[in-house]
Amino acid sequence: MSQGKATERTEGEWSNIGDRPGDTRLSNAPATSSRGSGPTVEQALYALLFLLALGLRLHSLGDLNSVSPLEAAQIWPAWQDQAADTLGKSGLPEPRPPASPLLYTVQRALFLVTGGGSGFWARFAPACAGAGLVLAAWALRRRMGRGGALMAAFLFALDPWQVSFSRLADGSILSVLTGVLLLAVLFDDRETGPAVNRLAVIGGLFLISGPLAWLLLPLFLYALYLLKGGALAGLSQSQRRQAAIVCAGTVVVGSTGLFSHLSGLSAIGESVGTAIAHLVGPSGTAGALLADHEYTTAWGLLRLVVDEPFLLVFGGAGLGMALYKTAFFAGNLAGQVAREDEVVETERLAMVDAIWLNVLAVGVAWGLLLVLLPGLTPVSLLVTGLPLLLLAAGTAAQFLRMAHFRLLLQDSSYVPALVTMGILLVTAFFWTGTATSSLRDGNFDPRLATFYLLIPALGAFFVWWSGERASVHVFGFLTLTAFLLAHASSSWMLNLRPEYEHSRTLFAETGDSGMSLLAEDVGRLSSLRTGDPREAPVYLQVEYSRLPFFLWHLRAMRDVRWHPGIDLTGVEADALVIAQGTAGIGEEQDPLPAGFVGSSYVVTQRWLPTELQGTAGLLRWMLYRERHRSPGGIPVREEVELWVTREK
Amino acid sequence: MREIVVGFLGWYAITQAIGVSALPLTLRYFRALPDRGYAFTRVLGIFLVSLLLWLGTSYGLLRNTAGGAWLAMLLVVLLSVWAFLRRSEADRKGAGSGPASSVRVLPHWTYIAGVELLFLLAFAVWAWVRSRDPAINHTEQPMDLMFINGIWSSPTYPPRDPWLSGYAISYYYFGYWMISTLAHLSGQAPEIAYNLGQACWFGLLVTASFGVGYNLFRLHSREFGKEEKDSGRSEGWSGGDSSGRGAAIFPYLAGMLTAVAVALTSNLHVIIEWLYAQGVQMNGLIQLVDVYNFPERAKVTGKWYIDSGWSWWWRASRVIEDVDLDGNHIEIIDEFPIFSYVLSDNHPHLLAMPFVLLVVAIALNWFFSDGPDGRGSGVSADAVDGVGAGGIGSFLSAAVAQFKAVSRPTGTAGLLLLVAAAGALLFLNTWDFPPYLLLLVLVAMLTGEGRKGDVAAVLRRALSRGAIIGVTVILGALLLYLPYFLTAQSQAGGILPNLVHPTRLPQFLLMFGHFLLAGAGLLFLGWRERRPPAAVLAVSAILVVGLPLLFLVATGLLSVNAGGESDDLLERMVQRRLVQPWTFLLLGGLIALTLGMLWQRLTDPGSSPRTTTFVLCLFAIGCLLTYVPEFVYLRDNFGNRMNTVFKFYYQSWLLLGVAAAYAIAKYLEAAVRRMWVDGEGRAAIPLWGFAPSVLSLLLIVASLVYPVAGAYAKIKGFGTREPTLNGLAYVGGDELAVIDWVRRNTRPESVILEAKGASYRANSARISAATGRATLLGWDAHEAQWRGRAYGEMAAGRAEAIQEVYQSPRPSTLLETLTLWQVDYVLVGPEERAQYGMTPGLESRIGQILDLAFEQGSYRLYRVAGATER
Repeated sequence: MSQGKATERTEGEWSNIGDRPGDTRLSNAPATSSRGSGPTVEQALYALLFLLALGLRLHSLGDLNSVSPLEAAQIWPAWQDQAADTLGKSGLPEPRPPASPLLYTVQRALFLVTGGGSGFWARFAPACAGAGLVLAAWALRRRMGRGGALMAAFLFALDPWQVSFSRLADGSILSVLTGVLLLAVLFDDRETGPAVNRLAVIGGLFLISGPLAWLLLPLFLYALYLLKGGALAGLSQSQRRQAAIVCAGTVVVGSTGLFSHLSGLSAIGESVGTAIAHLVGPSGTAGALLADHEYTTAWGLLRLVVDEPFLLVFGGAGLGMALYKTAFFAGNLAGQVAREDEVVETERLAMVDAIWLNVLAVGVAWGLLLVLLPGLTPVSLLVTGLPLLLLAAGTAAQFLRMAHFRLLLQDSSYVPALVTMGILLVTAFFWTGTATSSLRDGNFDPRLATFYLLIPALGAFFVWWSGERASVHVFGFLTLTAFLLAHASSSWMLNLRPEYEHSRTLFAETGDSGMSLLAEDVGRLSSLRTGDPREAPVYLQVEYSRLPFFLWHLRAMRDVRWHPGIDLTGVEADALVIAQGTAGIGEEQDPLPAGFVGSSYVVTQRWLPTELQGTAGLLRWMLYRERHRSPGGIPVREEVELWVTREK
Repeated sequence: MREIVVGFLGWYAITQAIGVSALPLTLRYFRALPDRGYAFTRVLGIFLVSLLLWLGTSYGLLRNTAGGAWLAMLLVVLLSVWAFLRRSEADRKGAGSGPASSVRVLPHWTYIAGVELLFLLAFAVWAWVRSRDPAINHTEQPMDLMFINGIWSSPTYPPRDPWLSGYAISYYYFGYWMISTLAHLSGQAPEIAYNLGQACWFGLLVTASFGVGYNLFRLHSREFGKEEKDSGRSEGWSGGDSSGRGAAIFPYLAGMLTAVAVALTSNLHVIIEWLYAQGVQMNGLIQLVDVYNFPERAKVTGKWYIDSGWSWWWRASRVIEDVDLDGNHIEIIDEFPIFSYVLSDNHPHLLAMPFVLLVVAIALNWFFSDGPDGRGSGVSADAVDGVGAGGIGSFLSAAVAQFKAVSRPTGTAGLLLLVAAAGALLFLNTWDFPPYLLLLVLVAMLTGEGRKGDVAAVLRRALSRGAIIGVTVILGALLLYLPYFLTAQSQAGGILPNLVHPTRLPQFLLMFGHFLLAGAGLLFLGWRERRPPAAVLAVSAILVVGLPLLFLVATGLLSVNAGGESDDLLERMVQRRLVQPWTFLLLGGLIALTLGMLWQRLTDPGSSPRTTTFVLCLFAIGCLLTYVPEFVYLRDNFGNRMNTVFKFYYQSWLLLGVAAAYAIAKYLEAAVRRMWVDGEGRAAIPLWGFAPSVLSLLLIVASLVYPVAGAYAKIKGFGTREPTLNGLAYVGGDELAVIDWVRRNTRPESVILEAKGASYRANSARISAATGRATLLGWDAHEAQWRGRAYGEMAAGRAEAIQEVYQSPRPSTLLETLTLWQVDYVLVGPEERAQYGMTPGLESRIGQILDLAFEQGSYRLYRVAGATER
């Protein structure tokens, strides 16, 4: 019997089992097929997680964070090409190719369909892709088991870094999504000839998804090498040729926007170049996207500790155990999914399990190496984050399976202990805030520290009272819960905390809401001067590398011109001039040209937590992501001036 | 220092990555070479990456940016993967499957380490030299920088000419394109890439010439079965007895000798200069060679580096001299590679060298891919004979059969590579194309079946093969490099006879004497292997010497009668030719003898070693290139044979250098074997071949004083400047600020007006050269050279327009003029003020009409209204 037939038969049987009422499918039950009659609890959970993920990503997507220069560099080429008719022959210089050809194509299509560009639509595709990761986790069920995949879906939905990149107009999350799908296909032992086209399409999309794909590629090639070609190995020459053509076709169609922009192929190279810059650091000629941002190894490790405590603990534990004993995960992996009557090649499956863990462990090591390299950026963090997340999901699922928490909760004597310890932990969070605040202000009361003694004291009492086994269960559960809460909290603080003073990005440079004010004022002044909010000519006196940022935010204006220089004698009376920094020649001269009035706007901010001085300030940032109240934590602001001619 | 190290390591890493990405291709398509082409993998990789980027940009598929360059590199990787997957059955059997199998077909690790070390050493040493002399400020260096910047800043086809706004570059610019591609990949600015690129090319030249020498030697050893015998005793450098180790070293020695002869040694004039500087009296010799300005401008200094000025090392490139009928000196250029590197221009002839060697390697691989006696071609003599018989149908089918036969040893992809590499010479340095096309034709003639029997039939078949490969390469190159030909103009205006300027033999020997001595040894070697019949030699001599003589007489008579020349022209021509016939006769004799030997090898394949045959081909072409300027030259703007001699001698240097190194190595091996080997391996050394070769070696070694003393003198002792690789570091701070502002704030296609350039003046048209933004007219004399007759129309009115802008800027006409010429910015700096006598009043008038965009120090940049809208 061929492998394919065996799989079909088995899937049918799984499907029947899945229909049984009361089958919650959270433990050792085999994975189900989606071809049942009606949704299962598992499917409903995935749907809920997808909605949660989508909500987290779409909430205030367009306006919570202003589009940053980094995002504008990606968005502007798509907008410019799509709106070429309305922009007309503006004479604006050609932008650098976008770093993600795939996102460029999707953005163009979205701008075309929606009829206009906005921050929301520019970020919509990554947001959907980020939410789609939850569904992609479904494809990992045969590899990670039902519990592991569901935990991965949960983490994908909530993970701070995944959410952060999902809310950016950047191709990284597309790389993660296609990368996860690629992993699922690579490790799916059912994949045979016809499914290779799927692999080719996903592979093609992966290659054009952006720089992160090129950073992840060595990992996938390593996996392919360990799997001895995987599904590709058994293909005939013609099937290989067909797969290569499909893959190349996907690359070409995807990167050129359905052949509408042939030089979009260059963008693939641009993403390779950017990926190389992530390894070796920005070159002198790479432009402003990467230059001058001092992401250090300390910054990378700090972000890992602060944003991803769950991944760090459970992923780290998983990594350790994977290195120590591959068999630890055996019950969680593919072998567990199969029914007894399925013809299972246990030896082969064990080998694939070992390869899976090997690849994830190497992935983490590769990611950590990137953190050490001079080209470190937030994108590099995802290289560590993805395998660590999959390891953490597997570890957490395995803990849950081993812990028998249902039994734990059924014993009423344990509940007060759980509640007490939980309250203590939550309170500790706020007490730490108070302690760091008083430390910073110089009025720290040492008695505050005595609170912390309560936790081990009560813990020790509980151990004495309930016994070792119960304690392990209770503390294990508490640890899992606490880290999950910390994970969710980090995600909220990194991505959704609405206060102005909080940094909501991993990147050093962010767009400031002052840019929106500037755009509004430009429209208002244009109305006053010409009677039309879009009519007044706008002169941009900014550097070439900053053009996409300003052009994107001022896209509503019909007549935007790039006017590098310092003299404005020839500009029209109703023109608006946006000048970077101070004008004039030398410090002694008036910054405003004669006859002009103007005002300043903050358009970007640059800040990294590693710039904070003092332990207390750093601790407060770690707890609350506060950056404004501590010395040394003031972001560097980029200001521009809007000039108009003085009305007579 | 950190900037130097980081820049160097970045560039090195990129070349390494390119080399690795092209390695599977090299291993596959250089199968017949003992090193599987390892020494050429970097050259091939750089060539392919640059070619793919250029083609992609030309057809609008890619952009000439870092992204495009990376994608081109990825495509090379894909090609390599394809080559690996489709590797031959023999390779599969021998090496097995999987990526590890690639490792098994690699040459011995000692060879890999040797090549890598050689490249790193040459690259590092020359980068260090350049870091001590980085300024791009003399001779035609600014022109080279201008081309690199023009290409680097042109994201789309065609690359713009920064010295003639509105037009594309009209020059063989592929070498500049390659440097720009590597600059994109390594993230270096053009002014740094200029110096790093030159150092890298030096490394490529050394390793590629090493590879040619090594492969030739080992192929010869293989033919004689020595290798098997030696390898039975030793493996690489280790093991075995002393004679085995010695034998293993010889290919390396041959490689090193070739690298030294081609890349490091100078002509013999340096020996005379050095001896003179030490106070050695040799008036007779000095009078005999009669080099221009020597010893008038030479000094007895007693210093090992002769002198810290330019004169002595520069003079080595001017040892050949022509004298017109009135007795006036005519400058003739006779550069050689190490002179070019000491001078440090990045000209096409220098940039093309590694790729010329790549073509030589491809030809060698092809020559040895074909089995002995042409069995590898697998086509019958009948099919070949069909080319000349029957109707069109049979002619075509026979031609197709012939084509298949010719391409079979290399395969279709190999043939494509051959066409691309040989055709690239048109685009790299057009002068290099004819000799290497001839080499390929000769290789085609000397391979294939049906080379025994009737002489006429043999000749017909050989010519058919030669014609097929010649036509294929020419048509393929025209097709592949079509975008280049669409924008290229040339100053070439036909061929003129050289009636009254025979090269004086002492000067010629000063240039090539050391190589010709070893060449004599080579001919002796060939003679001993297979002696050509006297009749063949006689016919060969008549053709080689008689035909040019006939041509000279005929053209001389025609010139006198039709050209209205002075009555005594014919008389003086005859007089000069009779007084100085020796170079002509020497070269004619050498070529005739070599052709005779080649004819013998054509008609009787298998009777003599193929390696010697190949080297004889190189030697014949090398001699031919020096022979041709004796009676014809290319008509160009210079009006004499200066450029023809320069370009042809340069390639002769390479070809004769390879041939000489081969001959020396063979005789050295024979000597060592005689000393160390007992019994059957012990053979007599022919004195007639050995003595000139050893003398040649001594002269080559003596000439090695040139690279050290030359570089030392040019850089004035290595210690006078702060080292940097930035070629614009010498420019003043204010001007640098202008360059920086222009790069950051203007579009690549912006036109920035500056004072009209003047050839060889580094500070004229410098903004355009340093930014790639075009000016109206840069170095006008050079533009005229590059564009030939088309220049007049292209440049018409430009000089006047510039003058009008700077000397009489009127509100009524200035904007009109600037708009007419699509000028976006007008620069006013010291050069403009000096050249056009600008007064403050004139300057303020410009300021009233145009916006001041940028000001720093004495530089002002004015912006024309609507500049960014164009």
